[in-house]
Amino acid sequence: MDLIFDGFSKAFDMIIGIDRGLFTIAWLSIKVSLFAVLISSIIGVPLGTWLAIGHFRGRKIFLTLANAGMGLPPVVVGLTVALMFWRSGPMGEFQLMYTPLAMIIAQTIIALPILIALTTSAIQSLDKQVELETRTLGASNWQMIATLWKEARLGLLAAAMAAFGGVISEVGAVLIVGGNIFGQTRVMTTAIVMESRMGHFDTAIALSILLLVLIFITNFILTYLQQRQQNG
Amino acid sequence: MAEVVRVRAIQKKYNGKLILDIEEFDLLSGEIVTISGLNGAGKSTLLKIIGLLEKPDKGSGFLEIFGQRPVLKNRLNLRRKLVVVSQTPFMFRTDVFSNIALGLKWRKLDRKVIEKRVLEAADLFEIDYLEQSATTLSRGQMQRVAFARALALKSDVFLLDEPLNALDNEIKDRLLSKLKKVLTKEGSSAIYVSHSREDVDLISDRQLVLSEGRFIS
Repeated sequence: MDLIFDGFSKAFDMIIGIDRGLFTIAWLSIKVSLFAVLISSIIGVPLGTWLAIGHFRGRKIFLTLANAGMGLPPVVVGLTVALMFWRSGPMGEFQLMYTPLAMIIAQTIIALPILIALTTSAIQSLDKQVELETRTLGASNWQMIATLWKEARLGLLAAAMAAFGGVISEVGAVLIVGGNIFGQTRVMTTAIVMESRMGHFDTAIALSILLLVLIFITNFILTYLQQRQQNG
Repeated sequence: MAEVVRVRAIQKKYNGKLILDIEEFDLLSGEIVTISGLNGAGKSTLLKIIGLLEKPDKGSGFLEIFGQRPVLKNRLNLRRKLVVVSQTPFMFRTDVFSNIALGLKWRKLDRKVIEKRVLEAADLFEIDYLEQSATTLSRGQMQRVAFARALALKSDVFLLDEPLNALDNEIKDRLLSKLKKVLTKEGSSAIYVSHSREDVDLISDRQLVLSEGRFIS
């Protein structure tokens, strides 16, 4: 029990004392995951909308792939991205291995199927009348899509929340492509793994608390926005 | 009077079952045609096809709106000449004013013009709850808003699918009388689908009956 109490006590000291190393790691985690969610939203929301309202051959296959992709193991994504960016790999010349950019790419691949599948589901769950009403009121295709997004905004926010929660808490992909280099690619999850292995439970607990608080705050903000929209 | 809508030999099947088989139908400029018939007679499908919200079956005849056959290139322009009002309208997640203004905004009209048109339409349909959230309205209130939303567009052709069936007869008759005056004044054409004999008598220039997808009178 002493181990746990000591761990918590030192962890609180580090957080309250604003340990610089700790916050460098936390800030990188936030940056990498937010960028990944942003990029995957830019790609995934239009793709998910297309899957929801489009009529084309192979639509169901794409949808099945997106749904299956939500369970994509991060380590497999990490390995695949690492193979691509490895010095002798097909994209080795870009020298992205062990950089934050490689981590963003890996996390974008993890978040993308979540955004696509949940966007499709959010748009499809709208009343069929939305599309008809929008069209008969004379909306162009772009105006109709913007309206669908506006009507499905609660579901789209939920998709972003799920994607952010998925990538900020994953460890496999960022560990493989980032390499856990302090000050460069060390993020909270990789740091927790390393510190636990080394027996530095105080740092591991401090990082875990920060990670949980961060996830809570992000979701609190998004839930607040979501509920405000619901009531508005 | 010129034909604003021409329908020739149009068919529509759902799951192999023929539900619409119109040999010939014309809607003239400024004319109000009422269509009655039993449930499942094909009335709503006909309105959706004319309103360019559904396509007739391939290989069947043709549809012309203001002398033009709808293709991808002119579809939006033609659609902006027509408006469909359904009996179960959808309310967008915003207030009543914005709901009525939506189609006008999409046409990129001036803000003052939009406001004027919204207030005129709201006044006609006795809507005094413009700031209320549209999704919280009763069905009758939603029908009024949907109708006002369509009327504010000043479209050339109104396709009305039992648009006021959730209202009391007294209010409905009053609104229909006002509607008829406005349509006549604007020179707009309309197809009005209704089960009610009184509605049909009140508003129509010409009455048709649809049965099992075909006009029988």
